Amino acid sequence: MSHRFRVLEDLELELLRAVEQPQARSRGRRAGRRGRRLLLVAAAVLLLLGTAAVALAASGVILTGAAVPASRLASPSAGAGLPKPGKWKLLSLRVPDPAGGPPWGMRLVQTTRGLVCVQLGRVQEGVLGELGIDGAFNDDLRFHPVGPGVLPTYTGGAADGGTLSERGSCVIAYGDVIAGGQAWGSAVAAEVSGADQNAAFAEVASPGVGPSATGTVHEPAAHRRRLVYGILGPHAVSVTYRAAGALHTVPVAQGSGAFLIVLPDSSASRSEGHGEAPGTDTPGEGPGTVGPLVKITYEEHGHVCENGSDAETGGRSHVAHPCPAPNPNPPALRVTPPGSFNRVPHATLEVVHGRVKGAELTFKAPFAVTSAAEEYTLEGEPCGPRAEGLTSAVLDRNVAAGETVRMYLEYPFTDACTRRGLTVSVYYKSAGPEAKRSYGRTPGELLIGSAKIHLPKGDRAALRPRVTRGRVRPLS
Amino acid sequence: MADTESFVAFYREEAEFVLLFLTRRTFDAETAVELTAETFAQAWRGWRGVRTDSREEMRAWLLTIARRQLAHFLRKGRSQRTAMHRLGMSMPTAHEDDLIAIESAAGLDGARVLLGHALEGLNRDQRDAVKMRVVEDLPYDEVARRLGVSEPTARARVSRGLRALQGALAATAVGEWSV
Repeated sequence: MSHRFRVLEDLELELLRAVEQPQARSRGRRAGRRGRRLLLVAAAVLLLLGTAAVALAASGVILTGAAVPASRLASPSAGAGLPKPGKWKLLSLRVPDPAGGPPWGMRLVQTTRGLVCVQLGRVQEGVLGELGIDGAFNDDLRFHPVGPGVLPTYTGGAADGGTLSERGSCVIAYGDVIAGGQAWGSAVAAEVSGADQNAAFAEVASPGVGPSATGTVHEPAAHRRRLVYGILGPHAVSVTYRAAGALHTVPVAQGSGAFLIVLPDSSASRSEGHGEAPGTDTPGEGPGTVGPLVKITYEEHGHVCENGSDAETGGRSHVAHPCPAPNPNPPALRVTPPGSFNRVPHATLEVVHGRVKGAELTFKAPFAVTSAAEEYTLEGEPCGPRAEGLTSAVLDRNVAAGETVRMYLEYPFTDACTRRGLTVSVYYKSAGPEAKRSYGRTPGELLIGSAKIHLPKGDRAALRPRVTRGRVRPLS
Repeated sequence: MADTESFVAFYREEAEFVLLFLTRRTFDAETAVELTAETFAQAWRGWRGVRTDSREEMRAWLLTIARRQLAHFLRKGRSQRTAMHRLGMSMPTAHEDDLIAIESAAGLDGARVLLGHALEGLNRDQRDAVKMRVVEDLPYDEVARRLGVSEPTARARVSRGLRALQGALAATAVGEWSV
């Protein structure tokens, strides 16, 4: 055999084994029937036992099923981008599931748009995947590999430093994180609550940033998991978390500072949600206020220090050696001279049958967008006491400097106060060492220009259709 | 036995060709491995009926089977394993290093750039429709509702957008990755 790829050699052996059996076809049929019968028997047993976990714990290696398909039309210059060739890594950490079966693991994938995406799943024979139980993959009891191309949805978020959605999360990162685990972005730790034990995460209809992303979960509480994970950078040493009333400390992976905690989900909620957990690669920065993590220990230049927060008590946890606060204004953030980037956007309304459905703003981009760390956003300024009129759109693709950019704002006149006129502003947002800033604005945010749009006389506002939240894709 | 030997020789000659052919069309080496396995399992089932010694004709026959697998995958979102099951075959697991090497050999990086450019090259109506239908996997009535058009119009936009993408990629495939 002289195949360039090992899998073709394995496939040749498998083919040879199959075709050299004179009765392969009929035996195969019998084996198929027998397999199906066994599958049915197994499914019946599972029903009788009321849990798939028992079977998983006892069954050892699980047959491999079809791989989870990646998005067919992802783009290297939009959204999360695509995996960079060779820039992904299944981390060596393995965490047992409370009910047994293949352990949990994490893969890091670096993308063409400057993101590092974390993929979570179960690991069998060095492969990350999902299990065909609990309604996923028609309960075929198989292991379904998840390739590096199955990326979490990314819907923008340069100013937030990342986004959280199904199958993990993506964060903006600087430097070659796969090779050296250096120079991480900000939102590096997250939490998935209500996840199913099969790791076939619910995909939300409108994935968003932060805890708003949720999906419906149909499984009983015993099958749900709370996953807390992060990539804390090369200075992190260990994390301490609270579970079942006790504190536990576990070391993080060297270099990347990766950690993964898998707990039974004891919450009464029947929804799967994603949130930001405490955690940062910068000692002294943060941490957040949710999740079971209570302490992160770092070592920098030979000094050990700790970041601490206790979500259950609502206050900072007592740490022996608190990390010093970092410099809030990194010197790399330079002020961009005012006026050099201002543009006047041109607005056009889309009117269908006398109803205004949207507004398209056109402007020449003063800055290029070359990664997910930069973006243009369109924001309708609030005009009422409850922030009526507040609406936004994000351009989640690369653009060249000087390119004419068209951005579309849906249903601008839905709220009554907007019908007196709505100010729509274009912002350029950026994060990281190269982030731009201007006087009087949040670091990383530049106001490019504004336009005021009015509901034309005789026309009416099209109303935003009701959005069904929590719709779950069929897991098959 | 002669059948087996000639089939294995045929596999050794064509397996990589089929694998790269499918990788370039699925943009995913793992999926391509599955489709390749089922392609050869189906080829074995029809091997005794092959009545030609022409390598070109045999390759064309094999590609017909591979395209059928690809069409099933694109339609259903998963590969089929009918012939593999009948032969009692199991799917070999591809190691990650292998997948990287396959995608690199298939020139996926360039292909992805091409696809991205082709997508950007569509007009806004078609691009939005294709993204909603294919990337976000929304049903046609939802695509129509979001675009503010009728369902037949939404279907037409998706169809025209996909045809345009197919055309853009096919035009490039002739020169750059023509298998």
